[in-house]
Amino acid sequence: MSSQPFSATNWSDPEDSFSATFYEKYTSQLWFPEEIPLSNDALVWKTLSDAERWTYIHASAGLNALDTLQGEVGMPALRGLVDGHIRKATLQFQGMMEDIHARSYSMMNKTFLSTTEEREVFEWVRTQPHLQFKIAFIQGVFHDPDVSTLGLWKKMVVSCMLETSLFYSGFFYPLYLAGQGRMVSAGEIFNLIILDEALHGVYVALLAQEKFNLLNAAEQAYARAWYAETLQTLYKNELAYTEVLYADLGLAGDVKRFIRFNFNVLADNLDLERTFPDEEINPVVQNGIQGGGTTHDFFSAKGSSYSKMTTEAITDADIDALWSGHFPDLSRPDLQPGVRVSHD
Amino acid sequence: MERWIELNNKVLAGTLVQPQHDLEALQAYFQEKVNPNTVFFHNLKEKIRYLTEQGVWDAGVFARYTPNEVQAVFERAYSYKFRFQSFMGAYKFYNEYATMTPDRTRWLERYEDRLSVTALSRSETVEEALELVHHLVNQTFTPATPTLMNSGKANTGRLVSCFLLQDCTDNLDSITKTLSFVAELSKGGGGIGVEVSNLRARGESLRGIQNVTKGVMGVAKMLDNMLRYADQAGQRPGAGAIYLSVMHADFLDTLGAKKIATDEDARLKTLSVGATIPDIFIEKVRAGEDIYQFFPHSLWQETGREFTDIDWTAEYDALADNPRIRKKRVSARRILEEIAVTQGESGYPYLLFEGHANRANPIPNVGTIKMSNLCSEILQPTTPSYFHAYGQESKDRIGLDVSCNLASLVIEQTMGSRDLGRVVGAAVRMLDNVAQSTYITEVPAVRRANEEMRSIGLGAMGLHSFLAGKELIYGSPEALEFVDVFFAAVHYHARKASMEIARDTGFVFGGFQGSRYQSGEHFAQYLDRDFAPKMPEVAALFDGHALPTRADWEQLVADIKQHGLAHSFVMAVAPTGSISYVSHASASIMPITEKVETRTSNKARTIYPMPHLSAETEWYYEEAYDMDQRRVLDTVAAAQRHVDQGISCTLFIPASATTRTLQAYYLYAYRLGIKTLYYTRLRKSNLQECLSCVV
Repeated sequence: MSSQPFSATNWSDPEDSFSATFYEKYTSQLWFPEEIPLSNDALVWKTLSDAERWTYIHASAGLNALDTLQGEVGMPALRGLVDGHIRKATLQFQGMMEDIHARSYSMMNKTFLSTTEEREVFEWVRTQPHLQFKIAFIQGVFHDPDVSTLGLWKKMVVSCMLETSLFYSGFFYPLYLAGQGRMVSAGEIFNLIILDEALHGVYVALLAQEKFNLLNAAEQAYARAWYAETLQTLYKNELAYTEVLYADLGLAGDVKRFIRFNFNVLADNLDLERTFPDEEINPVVQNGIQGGGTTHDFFSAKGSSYSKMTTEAITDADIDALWSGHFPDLSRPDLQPGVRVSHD
Repeated sequence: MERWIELNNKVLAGTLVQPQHDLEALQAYFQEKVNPNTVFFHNLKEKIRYLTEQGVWDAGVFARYTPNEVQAVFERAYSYKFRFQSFMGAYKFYNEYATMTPDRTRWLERYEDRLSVTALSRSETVEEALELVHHLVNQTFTPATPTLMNSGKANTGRLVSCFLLQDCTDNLDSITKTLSFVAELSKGGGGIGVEVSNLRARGESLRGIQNVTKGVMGVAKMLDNMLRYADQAGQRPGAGAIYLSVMHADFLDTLGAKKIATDEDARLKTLSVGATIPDIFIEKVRAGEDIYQFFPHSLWQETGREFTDIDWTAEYDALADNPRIRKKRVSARRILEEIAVTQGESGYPYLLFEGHANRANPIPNVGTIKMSNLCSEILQPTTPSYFHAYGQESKDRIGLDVSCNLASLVIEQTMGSRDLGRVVGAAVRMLDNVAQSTYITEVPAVRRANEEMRSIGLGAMGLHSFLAGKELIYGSPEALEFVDVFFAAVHYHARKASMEIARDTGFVFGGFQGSRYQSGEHFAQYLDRDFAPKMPEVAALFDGHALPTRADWEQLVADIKQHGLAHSFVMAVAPTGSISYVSHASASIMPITEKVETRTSNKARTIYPMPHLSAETEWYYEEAYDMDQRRVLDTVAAAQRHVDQGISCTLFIPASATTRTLQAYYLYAYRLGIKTLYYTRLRKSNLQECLSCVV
């Protein structure tokens, strides 16, 4: 018998000021790929050139592998090491979403590819050196037996690198096409994934900042140096990977700028120095990553703007107010459920 | 990457909104795309000859006029030197409306050509065509998309795209007939409303075998698939809505089909769902009581009546007390809550408050209003059809469906014309022509309705952009008074034009005899008082317009009694999508959703700064999600008093709102007498907002 009794999760006793909010945000934006009518894109798919199709599907397949890594290795590793039931639950939810993302990519393959093509793509993932290097490198950090504060910080940092930077070489192309009205339904799936990943990156970065602040000055200096070196290693690899995916389309330069832009976002999230100077990125792609809902041609796309709704019953007092010519005061605190995100 | 798309996207890409990039995009689009890719003709004669020979333009249109008359119409169109004011407007027009070569690489028509041909084809005389082209080019009103897109073309789609079907009655022949009607209408690009409340519920008996029927969902899934299949040769998937009564035993099942986490077999992907809500249901919600939902086949076996023939409010108690009718009991408030949850997750269902719609029904002698359309602004009586198997068609009974012909006034340009009556008169005459030019032979009850009822729906768009330009706040007392006076005047002139057409042509719609138009009841409010502006700011807006007085209405009511009306309905306020960009107006009478809109469609992601948005006017462009939705509902209620059909009314709520807020808005709308609510749109809090409340 362990001497530590096992406790239950107490959601009314927050472990920090943000985890519960992230958890609620995740539940409110829970989605499944079945909701998006992917087959609407089947005809558009046939109009893409061979090179366009190749990039689209291999970019997605690379993302599939990275999401699988996060769902299977990254998030469980962090969940095992952080303290707090709410934090663990939040990371577990993130892990589940990573698996849902991986499944979405697989559904795209199923929708657009023949079985032989599908097999080829999965084989490509297993043998593509830059992709495998990236995975092996990050897996190495996740599996590193060092679970000190510094060790945990490193694991969090590579997790953020994936969520905030390394996914984006893959995201570029779907965003670029959807911005031109091509592959719009698949583009919706990417939008939903990006909405998730943006939050995952921010959440883990908040946890990482906490760990970083616990380090002493010498450790922090070491950590900064390790960060710069890791970033350069992965950045160089990413440049080569980008060439493989985008050179034939003449987009490699745009994608590299986009990668540098996202490494800078990563630095902001981690509260570290930006690595690269500011550059203008492709405006169509930039508008694609802006998180707000977009206005849709309502009958042809689902939109990333719908979400799970918090239920709250209407009361007799509300009804009385309405029938006596008034409008109920919906903000009365005594009628609100315990924890609610408010943006008013 | 096309340069104009990139420039247009720059409007939003910086830290500040930069509308000047939009004009750069507009310029680049014309200079680099449209102008170099427009087929050149030496003169109009050559253009007409080529395009009629190629089967693009309908030669019959030009045969009605002399070459000089045709020339005069085109010259008038070009004389206005029309210029688009936004990239989005030009892009929409040249991508969706202007005719291109079959390989879609070059344009055969410019803006002025399209509108000249529309004016010629929608008129009988050159005087009418000259008048119409004036309005079309200057955009005092804009026809619905199919009319603008297809007028005057040989071998293209229909002029009308809004249909309501009540053919789906409770037998397999009627169900399959409805599917084929839907396919026919969908392949030509129709938005189709289908009433399904007469279908027996899941688990009812079939040929005496108990507990075997698949219910409404079985049919809904087939409709859902059929609409995606018949997609106008790949241009756009069809769009449809089913209307189902909350009193139907399958209501909650069907609602569940729009939820996010639903089993794929039970999910409706693109089919919209509308909920028909009788007064009795709201009474039960108010009292906090349970309500019975009924099984239609059992109801029919016991009473011999169809579900939609029941007056649920008047007959509810007797039916609820009858033990031989199968029903289930559920809390009315729980159903309303389910409606709110589903709206939050999917935007649907639409709500149709049947009691309000029928109390305002001007032709109860024809039938009751049981359903609406895809955008919930069409409200007309329908009667069901009954179809029989092959070889027994002689037993078929053809009911009354709806085909609706729509156009929208552009409020800013209509007001700027200083002659509202002239604008409305021209719009009604054009719609009359559309109705007369439409023959939907494939769907007999639609054809019958169009021929006998000739209903039209004139609406309006650009309310918010007009108000902002005049520095008035959307939903303020001044704005509400403007809406009241404006729509009263539109109603007067629309009805007057309809009477004049009846008087001059002798055509009176079927059902005028015995209607509330004939008795004058429908116009009671106008005989009671004047609808003139009281506030000076509002009166100033109407300077130069002759507004109808009580005496004018008295004369009109007498004229209607004497001559009848040509159209069963004349008004309906549609949501307006593409045509509001082309007309540089905010959508319908709704508030704007974003000062700068990002729109994703199958063509491109485009950025659209609101009309006249500047540092000075920005303050008046309050976004819909930031507003108390009572301002939207008050605005709609003010217009609804003058609109014989309905108004597409969207609710805009932040994601932090709960179902209680939504339910309060439904009931507030009901209390105001609003007839329908269109979908609810939810704005997710974005990452920045989320973080700002966290750290």
